[in-house]
Amino acid sequence: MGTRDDEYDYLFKVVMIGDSGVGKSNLLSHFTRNDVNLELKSTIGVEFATRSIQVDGKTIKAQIWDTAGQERYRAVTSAYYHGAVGALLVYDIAKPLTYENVERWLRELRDHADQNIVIMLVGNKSDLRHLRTVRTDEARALAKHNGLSFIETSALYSTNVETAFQSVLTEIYRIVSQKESCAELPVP
Amino acid sequence: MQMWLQGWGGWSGWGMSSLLSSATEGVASLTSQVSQGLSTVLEAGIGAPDPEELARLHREEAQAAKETVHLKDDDDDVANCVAAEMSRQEESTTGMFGLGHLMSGVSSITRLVESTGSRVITGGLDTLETIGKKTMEVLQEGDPGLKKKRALFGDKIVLSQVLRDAKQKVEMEDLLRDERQQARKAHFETLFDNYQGLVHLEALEMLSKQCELKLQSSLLAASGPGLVALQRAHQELREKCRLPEDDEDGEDAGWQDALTSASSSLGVPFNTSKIFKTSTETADWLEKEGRDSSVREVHRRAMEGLSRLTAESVEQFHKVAELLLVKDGRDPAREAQIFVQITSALTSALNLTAEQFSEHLSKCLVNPASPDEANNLITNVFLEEKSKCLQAIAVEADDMFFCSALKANNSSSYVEEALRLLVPVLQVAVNN
Repeated sequence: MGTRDDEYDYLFKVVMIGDSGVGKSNLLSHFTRNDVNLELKSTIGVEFATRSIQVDGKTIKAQIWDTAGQERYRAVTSAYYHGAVGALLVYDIAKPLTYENVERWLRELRDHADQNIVIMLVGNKSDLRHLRTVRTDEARALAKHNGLSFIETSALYSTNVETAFQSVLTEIYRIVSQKESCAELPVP
Repeated sequence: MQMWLQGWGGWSGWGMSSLLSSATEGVASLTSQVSQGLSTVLEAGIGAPDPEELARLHREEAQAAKETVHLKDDDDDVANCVAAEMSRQEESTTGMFGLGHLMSGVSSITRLVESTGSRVITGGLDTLETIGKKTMEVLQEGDPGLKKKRALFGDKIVLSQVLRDAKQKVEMEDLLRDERQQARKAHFETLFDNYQGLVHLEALEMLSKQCELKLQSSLLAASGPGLVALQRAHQELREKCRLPEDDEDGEDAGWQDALTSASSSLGVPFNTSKIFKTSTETADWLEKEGRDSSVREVHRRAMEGLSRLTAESVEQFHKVAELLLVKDGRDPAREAQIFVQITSALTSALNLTAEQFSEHLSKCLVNPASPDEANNLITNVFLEEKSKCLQAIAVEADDMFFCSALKANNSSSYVEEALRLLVPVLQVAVNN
């Protein structure tokens, strides 16, 4: 369960997607509960967690939908993208196939998610340096090409985990608050 | 002196409102008069100033002073404290019979006394002593203890009463704020959301919608007898998912067995352990600690138990829907039958919990077993209004009693909603 935060200024739905076993659930449990479970079972369908952060003095409650990466759940999980304002697309830097599938996941988002969704490409398991097969500059170029932000993380050593979530949420907040302030402007 | 006494006598005939308006309107002129008067006195350097003049000047001053004197006896800080206290109270009392105005008048007089006082001190303590003595003489002439002069303000407005009222008002506001927070803590929907019931329900709704879209497109693709057969199959499933109108009473107790046997034949895992744990914990708490807990705490626990059970039930419906949608070789008719049994068992669990708590709360109502809380509330807040407070608690307990009975309906309606959302999830299996 996430933190019990009843009061917030914004509620953002964020989905976590990517192949099975890349560490989505571990990244999330690190962010929301500050723990990592190496024995984590495969996610069934979708699991939820929440955490509130402060941006510009506003309380933002992130409701994160951690979807199952397994192929067989694909039809089920695609039902959950609607209404999401952010997505973390995770791959494993030591498993090239999970990186190759990034394009497929992007298509899933394009087909089922809202158009203006903020997407971050996340290369997880950056601690596995000796096993790395996906180069950082390559992934960064791919992210740039698709208009995504990019970060490499290690859920195991808690490297950049906080930053990844924080920057996605902050970016969403900037967009949302900008829209709001435009809407408040008087019509000339 | 005679003249002054008459003057005082004349005051008592004044209406309160005119006194108030003169007190407020007069402040500005009074301020300049008193300070001018005093400085004239000081500048003239007369050891014993004209008593009548002094009396005139200090009549008003004393008026303010006597209000302050019986509040605090420390001499130096009096003016400061009272001024601060009053301006604080002002905010809460403004609007009450125009007392705010009187108070602001009084506090500016006090501030004035303060500032002129310091000038007086620089001018010489002797003069101050003379002024003080003279003032008291004038005031006490024929009225030792200042009884009459205090009575000048009448029964209607006694500062201490005003302050007490204001204090009570603030305490009442605090109590109300606390109650609102308590209410939040015991609010069913908030708790249901905290236990992630709402998000599971939302996710189930999304699955349900997706299935409905699939159903529609398969109906569009079908035609002739195929279409009729499909429509009939969908309709049959919808009817199979209808809950029996009235459950026979007395069956609630066996809900755990009913849930276990129904869910085990579903073909996908339905996790009952969380539901059993919550229901056991909730019942145990009521049995062991319910008697020694306040009405409010019992109510909070009731809401917590019900919302948690509901959330966990909805979560299982959602999980099972996900698993069924990726399962091969389904039997939707059988699934429908099982889901009706599961829903009935869960509704029984919720009813039973609500009944147990309602029974307990109604006992509290008849025989207030939590005198501690009642007493605390009484001593802290109401002081003299014990009976009123008891009444208030009774009403509150009654509300809670009513509330939890209502919430049992509410929570089972969430479970019934989950069942309704499952119908398309079952119907898509027909197409396979």
